[in-house]
Amino acid sequence: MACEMLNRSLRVMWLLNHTSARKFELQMLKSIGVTGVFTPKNYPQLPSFRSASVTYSEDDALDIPEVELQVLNAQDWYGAPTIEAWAIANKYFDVAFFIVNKPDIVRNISNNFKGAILWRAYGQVQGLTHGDILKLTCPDDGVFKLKGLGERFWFAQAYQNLHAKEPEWMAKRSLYLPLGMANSSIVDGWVGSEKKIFFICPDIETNSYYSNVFNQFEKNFKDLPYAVGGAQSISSSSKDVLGVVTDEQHQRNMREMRVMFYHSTELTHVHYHPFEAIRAGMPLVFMAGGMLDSLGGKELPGRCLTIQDARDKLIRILNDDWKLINSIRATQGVLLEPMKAENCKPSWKLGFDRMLTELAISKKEQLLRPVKVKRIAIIVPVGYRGGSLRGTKLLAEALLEGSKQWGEPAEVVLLHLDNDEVYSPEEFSDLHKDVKVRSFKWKVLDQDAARRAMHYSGHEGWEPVSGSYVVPDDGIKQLMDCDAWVVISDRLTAPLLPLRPILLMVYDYLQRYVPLLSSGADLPFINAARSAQKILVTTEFTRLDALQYAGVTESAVSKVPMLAPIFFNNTEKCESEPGFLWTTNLSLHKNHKNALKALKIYYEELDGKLNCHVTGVNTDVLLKSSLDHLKGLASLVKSSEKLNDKLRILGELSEVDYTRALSRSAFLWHAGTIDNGTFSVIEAACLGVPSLSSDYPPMREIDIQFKINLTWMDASSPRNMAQQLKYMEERHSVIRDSLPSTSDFSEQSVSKLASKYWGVVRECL
Amino acid sequence: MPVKYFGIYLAYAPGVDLRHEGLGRYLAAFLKGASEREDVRFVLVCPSWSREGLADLFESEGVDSASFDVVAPDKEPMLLRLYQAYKARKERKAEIGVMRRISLFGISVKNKLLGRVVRRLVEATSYIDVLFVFIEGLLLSILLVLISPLLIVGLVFYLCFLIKSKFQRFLKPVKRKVARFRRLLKSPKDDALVLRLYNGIARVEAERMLKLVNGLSHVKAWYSPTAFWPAFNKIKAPRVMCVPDVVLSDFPVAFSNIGGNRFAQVYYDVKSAIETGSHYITYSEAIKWTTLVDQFGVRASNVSVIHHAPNDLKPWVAVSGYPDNEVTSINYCESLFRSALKRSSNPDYTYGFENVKVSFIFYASQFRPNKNVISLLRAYESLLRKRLIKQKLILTGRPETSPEVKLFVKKHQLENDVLFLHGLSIQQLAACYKLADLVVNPSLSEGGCPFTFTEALSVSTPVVMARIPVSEEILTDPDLQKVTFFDPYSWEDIADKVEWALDHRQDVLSIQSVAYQSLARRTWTNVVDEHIDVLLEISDKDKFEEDA
Repeated sequence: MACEMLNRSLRVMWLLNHTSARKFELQMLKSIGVTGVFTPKNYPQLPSFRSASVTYSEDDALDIPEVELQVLNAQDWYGAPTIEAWAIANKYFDVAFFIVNKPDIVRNISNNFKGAILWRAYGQVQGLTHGDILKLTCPDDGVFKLKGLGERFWFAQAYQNLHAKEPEWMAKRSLYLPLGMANSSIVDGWVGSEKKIFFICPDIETNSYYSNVFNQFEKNFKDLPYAVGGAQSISSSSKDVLGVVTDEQHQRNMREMRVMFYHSTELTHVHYHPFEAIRAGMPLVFMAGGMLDSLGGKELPGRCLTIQDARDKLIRILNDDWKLINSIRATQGVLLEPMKAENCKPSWKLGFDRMLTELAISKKEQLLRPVKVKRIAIIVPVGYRGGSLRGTKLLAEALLEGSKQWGEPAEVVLLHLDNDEVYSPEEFSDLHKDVKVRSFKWKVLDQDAARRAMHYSGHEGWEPVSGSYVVPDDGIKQLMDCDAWVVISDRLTAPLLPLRPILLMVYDYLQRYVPLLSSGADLPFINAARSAQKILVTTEFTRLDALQYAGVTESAVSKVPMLAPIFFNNTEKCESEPGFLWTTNLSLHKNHKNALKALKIYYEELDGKLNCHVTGVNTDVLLKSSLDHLKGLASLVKSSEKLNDKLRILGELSEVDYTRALSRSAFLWHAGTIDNGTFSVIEAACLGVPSLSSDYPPMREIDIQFKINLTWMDASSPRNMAQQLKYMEERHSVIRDSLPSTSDFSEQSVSKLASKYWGVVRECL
Repeated sequence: MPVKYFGIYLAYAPGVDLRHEGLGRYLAAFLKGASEREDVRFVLVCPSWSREGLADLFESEGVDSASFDVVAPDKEPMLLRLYQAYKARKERKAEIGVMRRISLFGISVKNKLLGRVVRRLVEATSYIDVLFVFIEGLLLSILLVLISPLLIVGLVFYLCFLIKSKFQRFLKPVKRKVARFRRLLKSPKDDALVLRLYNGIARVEAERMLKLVNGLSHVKAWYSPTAFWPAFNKIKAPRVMCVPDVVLSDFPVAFSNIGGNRFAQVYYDVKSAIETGSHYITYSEAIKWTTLVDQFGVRASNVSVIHHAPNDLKPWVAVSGYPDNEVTSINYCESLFRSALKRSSNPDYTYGFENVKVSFIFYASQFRPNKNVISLLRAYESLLRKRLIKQKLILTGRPETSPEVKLFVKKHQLENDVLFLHGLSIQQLAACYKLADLVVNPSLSEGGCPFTFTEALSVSTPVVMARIPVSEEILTDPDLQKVTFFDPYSWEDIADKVEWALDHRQDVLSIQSVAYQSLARRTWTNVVDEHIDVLLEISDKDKFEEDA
């Protein structure tokens, strides 16, 4: 067999759980020389998996170390197995059958499995094709991914005609592996004493297709006695629907029911139960025009051209027309011929030989191909500066470093808006030397242009769902030289054209807690998250917001450790000035009113001794601003002589000046209500300065990750805030001693955390 | 010696001038190489409308037309002939309107008469002479009276002509239709109806060509030099298709706004041609793997890579028989350069530009999204204004075809230093290469190693180029790469490399010349031989499969 070309015994991953199909196909695989078959040990708990089950019976024959087998068994093979699982899969298996149920498996199997990949196709109902299913499930890149597999991808059709209506690229890759029955011999225990039509129609209440089928059946045959079989996830109210039956009852039904009626006229799909009926010896009356015609049913007496024809035959059968009954029973066995294992085997053998031959050639050819280094684009979509830009630079460094740690060195390009007023070349002078920088403008494409761009780039059949799309235009190649696009934040005014896998680095959903935006204004941002392949978050708090507020699935969100600028105090230890540093800006969530109220209490009632130095962007106009949430601050300060005296506004300081001011402070005060956490407390800890912080989840997460022993206060209570300020005044020098050392911080360096970032990005490549 | 016949399938659209297309020059080079084989002869099958264009191409490129056969359907489609006749008529000088002509004629006659009367009176020396003038005037008056009805009719027409504007309102719908018809004739490609008609014509022509092909049973295998024509795959004989590149796939965003859905149809045709093809030739491993295998799912073993041969421009500018051939050659090039300047897009500036010894950097290419011209312009602007180099930048593309390029040059006021010389003859092109201080090629995507390298080195001009896989595949020596390549994604790197190369011109030239000598050993005959090897292989394979 062609598996000799692969120089090892042939193992197959059969990533399905359909009970009946498994019985036949595993037996067939072994008969053509497959030595071991892996089957999934869990599957989606959905009504559409009503015919599924799990078996461990094949595990021993796999001859794989138990530890590795356990890894395989723990995976969701309909979604996103881990990198480790794929490594094991590639080690032992050359062929994988899969079905398309979620977009994850299409991307995952294409990105990770190195053998032949077979989409097991049993046909679709309602005139849909498998190409339609792929577009619906994975609209942005499903076709692109599977087509890109080239000779390794196969459309493994169970029926010979399935490829006829599929897109050309899929039809070219068709491989006929007929579906049969594990046991196709006619048992013929049929008696037929119960004069009823046996009609199989599962999930009447939960599946619109079957609901329609049932309604149609009822309409056509309601005056005739019938029983409806098939699993019902939700019980039907109809008395004729049997619902869950035991195996014994099912056998009894197959024995006793007078006749089975099969409704389907689909050319590309046939159910299992007509064949079960034939096996049991039950007469089958079926509608013409469906797949049974092509399986040998055109001349059978049970075939009906019209509903009236069907009614006539059913009535005759129910009224003891044994001549008709016997003629149907005597001839319908021909439909089982194509289902017999011995008739299916030649096609399986031929198909596998062809597939394995091409796989061997493909593997040899792959060794000759030039190796391409991956390139990742990090896009800053708006004019971020300050902390956000610092975070972006750290991310760039993390991807660079992380890719090297994984043994997959990649190039990283950072893109900023082409705006000289916001970005000068000096802005990036502290960037890692191997990270390239480019400027870009947002280019807007209408629907037609978007469609053309996607089709030109190989996303065959892609259709726009938005009126316009944006693309970053660097004036060179519009980032088509990059293999993935990582966007900092979700601030996209229109959907980003998915020419490449898109990841979003989302820091917070502040607008959920603070009315920063008008109603509906954040819908484009939410949609950006929903369209991205992956969302990276740095706190559990934001991760939950992504699930709850943005409404993305769990598998789409990955939590990565926070990257903070870690620097060490090279300045000489200074004597603290009698003051603490309040870092803030003019944003709504910075809790200015409560902070000033707290300060007033601290100075007037608690005899606070330390000055309060205020610094941050635009803080020079803190008391003069006309913003609604800042009105009244000036009068609040003026109303207290002590507060007025002790409050010193420093405004926005340069980095050097800020560091000096911070290192001289008794402690740092973070009084904001809610955000994704501030790194100012980390910077303070690096300088040996403790911090008093509002108590909210992201700050707790920072405290846990960086172990900086924050002191907490209730940001909604000025009195508590004041009390804690007094506490810090008295205890700051003691707390200082509990701050982490240099070696503690080194565990939080970019190089230590980088591999986690690359581990997420590489899944999308 | 028995001669094997192979076919070349061409199906360019009407109006395509292959002299200005890279593929046209490639075809010419290919046939020149083929003419040296005595055991092989090529048959070109082309549409009826391409015969003349091919003849022009081969003449301009010096290809011996006796070395191959051309087969085409007899007559051009009627619609096309009518359109071409209309175009030819339009290209003649625009005629003056009827009324205007009559008016001018009348004025001319009046002036002549007046002149004659004045002359006669002035020359008159006796009463008899004066009398004769009056008799002439009387006779003329009688004549006028006799033809007065015609004059009256003519006057009426003239009055109608003057008050025509009153009737404009009623003529608007008619005028709209006429305007659309005029637009259609001026730019037929942009009209949906014309597109449908053209597609129909192309389909019929393809069928006529297929009939001819099927009748050429002595042709063993067929070759298509591009992937534009899915009809090629209907030929029932061994066939191989050349896929130089699918640049729309590499630059989907940039091309999405060029040509609209008409252009998209070209892409779909290319896609269909590749997907229904069986054997392929590309110019580089890079295109084989990234385009054919990865994007179109073609089996790698069905793709043969045949690298280009160098393009030698020396024969166009090398003179002989002079005391100093090199000096004479340069002088000759300068005279060609002077004529090339006349093709500038900024004639106001270049008209009086006398210094043919001007220093310049040269890039010969059309302006397409993959050519990365903006990065080059950014680099040049920085070199000129910040690093204060003196060289001009000469490009051969038409700025009208690239609004971004035009805007950049205007915005940065580079009109007098960035010169666009387009539509150059091969001789003028060679002269520019020879006279340049440095040749540069920033292109991000090509089917094979750009011809720029060999074109420049063939006339002893150094070159710097983008580091792209197709170039790295051919120029492999690390020292060579170091002096030649820049990062095309970084205009700063382009500027650095250009500046360095200008300062180390001789060093660069020395290293590159060695590489060029090695590359120059490959000729177009080698290229043709390798094509023939592929054609033979596929024809034998098909025969084997048939026999089996």
